[in-house]
Amino acid sequence: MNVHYKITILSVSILLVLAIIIGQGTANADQKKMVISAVETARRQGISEEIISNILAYSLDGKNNKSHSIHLLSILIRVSEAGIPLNPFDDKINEGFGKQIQPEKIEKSLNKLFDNYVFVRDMLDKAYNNSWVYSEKDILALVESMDYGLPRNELRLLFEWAPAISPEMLSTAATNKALLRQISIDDKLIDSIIYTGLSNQSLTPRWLLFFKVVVAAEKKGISSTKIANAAKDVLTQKGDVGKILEKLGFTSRDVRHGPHIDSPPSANGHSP
Amino acid sequence: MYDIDNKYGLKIMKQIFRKMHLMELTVISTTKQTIKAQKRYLITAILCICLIHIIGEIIPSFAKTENNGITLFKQEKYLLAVSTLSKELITHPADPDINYFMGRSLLAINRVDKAIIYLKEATKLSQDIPDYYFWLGVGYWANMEFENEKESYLKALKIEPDHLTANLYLGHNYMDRNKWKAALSQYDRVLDIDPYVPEALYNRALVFRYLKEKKNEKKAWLFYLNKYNYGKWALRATEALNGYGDFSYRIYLLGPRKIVAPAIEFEQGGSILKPNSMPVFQHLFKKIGNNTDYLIHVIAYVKGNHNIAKSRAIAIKAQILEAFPTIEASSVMVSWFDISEKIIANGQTYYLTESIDVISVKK
Repeated sequence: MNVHYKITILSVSILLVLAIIIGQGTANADQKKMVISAVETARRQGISEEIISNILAYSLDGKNNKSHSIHLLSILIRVSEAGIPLNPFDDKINEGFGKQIQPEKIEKSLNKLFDNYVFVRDMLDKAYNNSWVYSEKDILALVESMDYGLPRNELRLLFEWAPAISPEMLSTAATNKALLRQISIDDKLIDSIIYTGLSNQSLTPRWLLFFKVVVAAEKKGISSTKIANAAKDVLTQKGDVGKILEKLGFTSRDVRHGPHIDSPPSANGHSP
Repeated sequence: MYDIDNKYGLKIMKQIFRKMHLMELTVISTTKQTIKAQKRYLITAILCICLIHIIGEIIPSFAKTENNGITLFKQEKYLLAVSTLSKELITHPADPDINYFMGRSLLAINRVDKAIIYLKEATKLSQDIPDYYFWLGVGYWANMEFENEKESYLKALKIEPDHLTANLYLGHNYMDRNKWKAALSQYDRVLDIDPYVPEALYNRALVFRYLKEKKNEKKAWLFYLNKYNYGKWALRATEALNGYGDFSYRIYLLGPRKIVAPAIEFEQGGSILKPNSMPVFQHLFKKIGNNTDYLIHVIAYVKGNHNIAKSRAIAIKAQILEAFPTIEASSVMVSWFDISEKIIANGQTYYLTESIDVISVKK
């Protein structure tokens, strides 16, 4: 290999390295521009400085590169453009950052939240058609029931009860269905409880505690059929969820006056 | 409230000045009179100042009690109490009592999650009041947070080991979680403090049942019935006792009611009622004694002795008519049998060689 050839190879290599460096610099500059533009759009959409700075700080920490910041910001922009409150998305981002979850996973869960939110909102609009005013809380509760694993087709079936039942009761039904399934209660039993609650319009938000009753009763060795029957009885009588405990032989508490110390036991007392 | 105070104060002050003025006019005449009058003036002034002070103390407290949230709570006007206490909390956010009663009011109207927030706040603001922890525990129970419930009662008991209700509900908490021995020891603790707490007496018997300690269970039911032989729980206790073949207490069907009473007993081999059976009739017929719409059937069983059975039935009729003169003799029917009474309890058949049954039906 002659000297001329060596010099040529060296020159080409230097040029190549320079080209890479310059190219990367340009790409970095482009990405920087994109981040700036995403931040500006986010600000225009009214996304708070706190959320924006959280995302940027995370990218500066090196846990998140610039492209992830752009993606996260663009999801938030999309959420804001769709007129959806940012709080649940912000909470999810913070939760993800706090738990050091990979940015791709955070993006995925934000996209899922967005889709579910839009789905629930559309369903509520269609089902109630302004006959009931539903709240942000109702939407989030329904979205949460999907998070707990309630599929869309089952949620659609519950929406068939609308507009006869309130959005609040609908969301209580959905959450109960999802939670009870998570603790492995038989689907038929769950459906019969939910049906009783909806047809008697007695599924108040206090029934969100029902799954705790089930857990406590099962620990005591009471069968799920017995629990379901007690729940249906109470729902038919439009009673409070706490009444199930009494029906299942748990002790009761007097939440107004405390125990009956100087008098004989009341009719509402403990059932053996 | 200060307006009321001032109004009264001003009125009284005006009266004092008027009195002082009158006094001044009358005391000018003689020096002796002047000294006397000055004394009188001084005494009156002191009395009036005391009066103002007393009124000043009493009137604001009256004004305070009228619209006070805590008073509304005590009057069981829970909704009103919540709205009043929430206003009071704006000016006194760090008042533990207001937070506590706000929590209690919310709990009473079943707004449990909010109740817990205020009760918790009360325990933070004043950490040495066992009732605050006790009611926080009740709040946790209503919210199905059983572990937190237990912890709260334990905190109450750390401050006051003899806190009756915290001991009792801690027992309930253990019982609900099948911790029978712990529950039993709690109920025993409660009965050490107060031997008449019905829930502890009743649940103690239940605990023995779950522990399969039949002898102790029977003893505990009897103990309960000796103290409380009326109401729903007494019926259950009697059923449980009869289920073990113990008929020292029985359920009598009197009209629409099921009444629990000790078994009616006679002296051995005769028709003289045992002294402790005398009050049974008062207990049995106090509800229908004056109601002439009922027929009373007395049935006496003495196995193998027709005559004693008959004389016992007649003795009871006489006892009923003596105790309730408004009951006509024709309204009390008697029958007697020289066989054992057959009773089915808890799926088992029992035969009582000597017994009395009383039934009452509408005519």
